[in-house]
Amino acid sequence: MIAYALRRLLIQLPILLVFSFVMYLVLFHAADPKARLQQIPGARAEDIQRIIEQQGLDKTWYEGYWGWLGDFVQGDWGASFSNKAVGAATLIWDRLPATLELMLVSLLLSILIAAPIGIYSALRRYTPFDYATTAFSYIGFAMPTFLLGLLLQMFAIWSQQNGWAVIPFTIGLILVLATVTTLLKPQRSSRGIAITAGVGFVLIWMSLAFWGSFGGDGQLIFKTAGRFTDAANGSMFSVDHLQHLALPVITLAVVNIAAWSRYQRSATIDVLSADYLRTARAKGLPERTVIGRHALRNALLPLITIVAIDIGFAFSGAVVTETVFGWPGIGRLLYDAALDGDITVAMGVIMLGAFMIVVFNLIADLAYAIADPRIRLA
Amino acid sequence: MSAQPLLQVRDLRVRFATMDGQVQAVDGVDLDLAAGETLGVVGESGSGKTVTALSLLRLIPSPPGRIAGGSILLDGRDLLALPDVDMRKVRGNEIAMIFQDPMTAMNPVLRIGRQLTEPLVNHQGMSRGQARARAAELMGLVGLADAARRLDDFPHQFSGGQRQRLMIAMALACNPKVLIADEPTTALDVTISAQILELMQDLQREFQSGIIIITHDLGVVARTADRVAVMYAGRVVEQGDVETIFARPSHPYTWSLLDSLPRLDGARGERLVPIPGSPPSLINKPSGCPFHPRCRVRREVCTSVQPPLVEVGAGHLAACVIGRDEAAAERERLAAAHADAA
Repeated sequence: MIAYALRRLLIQLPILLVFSFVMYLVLFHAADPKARLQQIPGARAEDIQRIIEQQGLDKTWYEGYWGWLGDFVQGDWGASFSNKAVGAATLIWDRLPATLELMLVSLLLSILIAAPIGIYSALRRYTPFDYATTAFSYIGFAMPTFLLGLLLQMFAIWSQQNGWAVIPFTIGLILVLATVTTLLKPQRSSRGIAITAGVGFVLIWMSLAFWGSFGGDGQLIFKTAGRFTDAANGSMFSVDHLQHLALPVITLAVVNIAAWSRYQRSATIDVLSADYLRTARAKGLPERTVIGRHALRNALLPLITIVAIDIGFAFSGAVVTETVFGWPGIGRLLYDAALDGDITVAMGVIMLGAFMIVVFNLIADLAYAIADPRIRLA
Repeated sequence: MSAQPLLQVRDLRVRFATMDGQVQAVDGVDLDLAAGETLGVVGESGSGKTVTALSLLRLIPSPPGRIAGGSILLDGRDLLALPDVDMRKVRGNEIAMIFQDPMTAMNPVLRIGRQLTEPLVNHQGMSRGQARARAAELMGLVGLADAARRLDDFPHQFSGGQRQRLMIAMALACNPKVLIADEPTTALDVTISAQILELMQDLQREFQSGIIIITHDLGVVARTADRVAVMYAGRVVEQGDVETIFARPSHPYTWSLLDSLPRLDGARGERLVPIPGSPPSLINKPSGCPFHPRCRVRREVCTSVQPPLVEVGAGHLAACVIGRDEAAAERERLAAAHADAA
């Protein structure tokens, strides 16, 4: 298996090389740092000329690419144009923990929510629960990330004005709306619908009764920007940090949950009609064992691949989410580098992402081979 | 037939709700099975064989399926009236089933040992260790070598024939009274299928189970069954001893089926006689006898009256207005006419 992994990685190296070349060409022609220098007010022509020579901005694309490739292979990934003190590698490594924290927390949350939703809606197909989660998936998947981010920020400001009561109020509202979506389909009345709607109304009523009693004194319950209130001394394990983490994590998780729960649902439905489940029932096993032992193991296999590949994408950062929430990760670094025409930094982030996608594609294959006894890698 | 058969099915009716309407998959089936006896159930695709078999275990997927009526008596106990918990104790314990395709009937991610021991742990309350020892024994019994080591293998590490042996071992684990084999050899090649049938007969002698073997292959019936039930459009149209059914078939469907098959002992150059038309829709069944549109000896009355299954000889039942002797004469006349035409 190790030999297989090494071989796979070696095969990918030329692809990464070609990819880096193409990306460099695109960035080289899209970004024009020289033009930005001209815009600096009061800059003298000879100073500009001096900076251009110092930074090597007058190089042709092939000189530039060759130089960048040398720096990249040696490990410092080239000097940043906009932040001369440090190399691109340092900038990226400094930002990476923030991105990884955000991405991994949201991935974990997504799995923990999406898999049970998908399995349960497959087992209870065409029930109100299934219709409600289907509706949620369509909305969650169709909603652009920046819009969801902005809506959550509006929610945060609303909570700033009215206190903690807005949270149960919103949950209640979602529950009531969820029952409404199920009423679009004609069906027998269900106790589940009644209970859900009832809980929703009680939550709304309770929160209205205590509206503004808890909080609502101008403090943000959910912080809308940054990673810590005090960036220099912030602790990973503080409430303040959780308050910062909540909204960007939700933003990223919603799309994942929407997609993965649908995926898990169809994978489970596939398994439910399998012959071996009929065999298991014919043995007289209780339904709990039939589902828990025979169905779920098979139904969860496909999700392994999806999740492993998505972890690879986590290393490229979430450009939109990090930008909306001012999250100091590599996604926003890439966004800033692209605006500044900082080719080395942009290339660094892109290549890190590309490499990790390659690695985690491989890990996805290896994980699948471990989980599914039928697959042997050669 | 003994006074109290082991398994007694009366007027079994199974319906499936589909977009196009109610499908009468099984429409009043009567079957009897004695201990140690092998009953062959024959019929073409869609005649209700498999649905009948699944009904015996109450494994009809519901919805859309539903057992709409009748009774299934096992040792005098009506299975259709049992609560789900008690029915589960029947499945795999008193009635076990072997499925058609051994490639898909086993869970691909569970080890064989686990799948073989499940019924033992579940029904007999054995410990894991006891069950494993018994599972190894069962594997030896069905002719799989090196059982102790192979218990930790996965299904894909076995060949098709080996997997069907494993399915048989799984089904026999609790020494069931009734073993239902749904097309057990259809997915296997000819030599392997002969071995599997032989194995089943050997084990039947040892375990004294009643076997219901479901097949569309008259050859399989001829070599294994004691009695035969021929199904057409969800009904049993003829039932009798295997010798009687092959030697003196009464229902036109049965002998048309036999005449459409090549025989090793047939005359050289004998021509096969196909059955015209195709099986009827089970949603809009033909009026009267469901076989009448394809029947070459139909009478006026066949379009309106559905004949009941009546005794035409000793232990020989048929559902046709034409009697056994008249049927034999008609069959001969048709065969002669066919030979002349050729």
